[in-house]
Amino acid sequence: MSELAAVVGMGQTKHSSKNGEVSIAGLVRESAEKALLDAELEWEDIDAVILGKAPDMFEGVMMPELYLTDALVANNKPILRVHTAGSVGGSTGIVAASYIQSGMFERVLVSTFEKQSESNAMWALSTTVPYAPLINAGAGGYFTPYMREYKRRFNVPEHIGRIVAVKDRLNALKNPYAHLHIPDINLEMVEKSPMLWDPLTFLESCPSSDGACSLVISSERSVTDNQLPAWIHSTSMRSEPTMYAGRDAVNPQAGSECAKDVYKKAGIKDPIKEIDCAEIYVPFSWYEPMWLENLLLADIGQGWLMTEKGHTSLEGKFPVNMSGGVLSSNPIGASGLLRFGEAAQQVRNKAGEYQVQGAKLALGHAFGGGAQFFAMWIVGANKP
Amino acid sequence: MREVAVIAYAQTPMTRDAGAQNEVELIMQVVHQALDEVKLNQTDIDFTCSGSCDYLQGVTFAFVDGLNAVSSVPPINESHVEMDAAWALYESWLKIQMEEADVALVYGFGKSSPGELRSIMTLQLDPYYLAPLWPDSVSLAALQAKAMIDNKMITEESMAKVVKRSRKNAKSNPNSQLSGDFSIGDLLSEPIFVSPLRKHDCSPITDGASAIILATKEKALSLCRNPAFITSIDHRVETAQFGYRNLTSSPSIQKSSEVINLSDYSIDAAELHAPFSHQELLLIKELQLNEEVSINKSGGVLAGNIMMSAGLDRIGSMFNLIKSGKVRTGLAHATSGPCLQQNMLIIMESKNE
Amino acid sequence: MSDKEILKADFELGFTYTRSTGPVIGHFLTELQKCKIYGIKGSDGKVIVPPAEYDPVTGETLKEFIEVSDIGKVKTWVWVNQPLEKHPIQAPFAWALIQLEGADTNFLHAVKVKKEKIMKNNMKVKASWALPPKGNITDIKYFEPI
Repeated sequence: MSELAAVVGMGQTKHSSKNGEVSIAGLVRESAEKALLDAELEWEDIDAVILGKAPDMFEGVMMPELYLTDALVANNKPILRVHTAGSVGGSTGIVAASYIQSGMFERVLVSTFEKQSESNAMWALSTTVPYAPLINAGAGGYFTPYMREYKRRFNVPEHIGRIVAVKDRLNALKNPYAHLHIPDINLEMVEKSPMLWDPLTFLESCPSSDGACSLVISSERSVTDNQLPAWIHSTSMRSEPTMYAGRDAVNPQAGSECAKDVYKKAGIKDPIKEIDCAEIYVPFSWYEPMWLENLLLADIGQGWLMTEKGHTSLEGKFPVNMSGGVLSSNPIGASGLLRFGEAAQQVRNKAGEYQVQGAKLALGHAFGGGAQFFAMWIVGANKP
Repeated sequence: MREVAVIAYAQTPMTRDAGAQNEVELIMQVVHQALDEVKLNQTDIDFTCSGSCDYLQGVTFAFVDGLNAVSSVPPINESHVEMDAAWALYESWLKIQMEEADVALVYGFGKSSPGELRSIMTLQLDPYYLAPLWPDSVSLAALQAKAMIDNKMITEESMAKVVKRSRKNAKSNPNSQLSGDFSIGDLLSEPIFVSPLRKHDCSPITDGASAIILATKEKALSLCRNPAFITSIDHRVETAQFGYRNLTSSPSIQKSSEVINLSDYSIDAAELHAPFSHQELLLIKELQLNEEVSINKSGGVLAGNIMMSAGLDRIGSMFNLIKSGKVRTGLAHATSGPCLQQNMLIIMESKNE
Repeated sequence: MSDKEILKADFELGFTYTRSTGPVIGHFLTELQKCKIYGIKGSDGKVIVPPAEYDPVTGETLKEFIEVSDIGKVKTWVWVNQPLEKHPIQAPFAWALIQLEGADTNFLHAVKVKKEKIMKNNMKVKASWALPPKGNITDIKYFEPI
């Protein structure tokens, strides 16, 4: 049996288009110090450091764990660097949990970041490699055809995407760390914002952020009474190729199998009933209903009805992205760990103004690549 | 702690330029060869993990294409480190310890031929004080060699001896890139590259890939005649402040040696990941390996250096020695970063009577 | 397949980056614009040059800047016969670890001399400044013997 692990501290920066006040190390360090403070621990209490971020070309520092070792006080400690595309924040949380679950470590620090202002992410994503088709579209252009297909397949009304965009930005107003604070956000404003890739408007897309997120994960025996642990009930990762015959990119098999696995390991039979809320990786508005279905939280073709009825709002039956989600802050490498950490904060009852009352069990979700890499965890207020 | 062993290892021939063979084709060979060696399919693998670096290929998300080399339909439990695949093996070992997996596949790949590797490695340095000056990996290693020579720890002759042995040992490694018999005199008459290093003191530019399969004791013994059990494993990193480091010592190696209780083992052989000849001498000193320990029977990375897989290859090479019965207890070492900044140590043992 | 049949194309990848530097690196680079070199006091009292943001041993955030000299001693060096395109000097030169007067750690930079045999451990060198300085580490063009 694996050892029980718990999140006992979370720290994040105020996410913004450009954090010009700090170096790359300074950005990561701020989140790590806050996580330690939250866990009431000191640097010497940390046995190992796990670092996650998206492509090195975003900051132009190759294998940056080597440069960040001083900032993360990892000298003479083990440090490991995870990279699994957009899901990396989630994957890094899962790898960090495995340090504890293996029984090999007592307390680890997991840090993730992106300092997108140092470069232009869209360029770094679209390199013109000879003999390869150039997809100079950026992530939005890449994913929009899948969203259009979802909309067409189930005859989904136009306004669903806008509902998600407004809901997540309203939630973000309650989160002091969120990048986007748009106080007068409403459906009309979203509709009137420039059309980027039909049906996706500017305000239905995620921002590009500088930001970092760190968690402290502890073994059961090292958890102290004051720490408010979020117990990790289960973790799961699944990958599939970008393309293969018969692949359904709207409802990827890797995502639904990952969901089945993470529920099964946590002993969850009816996820929508048993889980209280979720932080789901929604970088573009339409991905909320799409992932609700992929995550088996709604029947196929019915996810948008949950959104339309307001079930996913903070006051709804099944709140989704209470923190404002990726639509409100997107330091890519950290976005997954933010989902995982915000899920933990809910069951720790530490989510402040966006706390779901009585949340006992929460889902953290991240995806990456061409919607082909998935990472998920279930965290609970009670031990599994 | 669960007992975990290496049960299969495959490596492409190490070549200066794999030409039109892309990374996927290189990985494909070794993944299938490793699976065939123990008669397994991808569906028998509980966890897959790889190591690679975008900067070698010059594209973002290099590992995404790499995934096409393994069967990932239906979807697989998979992860990736932007590091040498030795660290992918470490992550896999943790997954087996936590009982998420019984059998794991690890692979690493790198084509260094398309770019100027010396300069690409500069991008690992701190981006404010060091990288803008473009000190390359050979120059930094040369500073370390010079500091060791200044301290009278090594001589150009002792470095040449390392190269001589590497080339000689590599003759019996069918995948090696550089091998042959050389005299110390021949080697020392070669021109200086970046003083005090000659070209042969530096590991070559290599294209290739390699793969390893790990399994729990029960599975290992049923699938492999003589698995190499991972008795102890640890890795540590040192400061990024280049001018703060004492390049003639390795505190991370000292610490890891202590953690794995290295002095309690009677080591027969060691596979050391030393990209430069003087680094092998530094490692031998820091690991306190005596003259009876056979070093780099494979030829080591001086005979072929698949970036992002060279550390994994040390583990694989030690597996080969143990599986063939030539070695009972071995030490494998992997490194990352300039001048041995980060290091991993693994004790590997045969359990056959 | 023969080499002739293999399609080949040049592929050059380059991105530009805008660095924000924070209070420690920023201070160092700002002072370089005045041709001054600053170090920072480590937890053990050692003066670290260039200034580290975090102590390499204790991890403490460092804050106490100390000005050091632009003259120092070569602690160790290597000779580059064929400079790479991006190297700071486009003629044979030395890389050196230099301990500046007032510093306890070594500073990696280039040393410009005509011949390798001029290079010696413990030789005195002085920074040669790029004028006007721009607030970059390359404001120190290289060091030269004095």
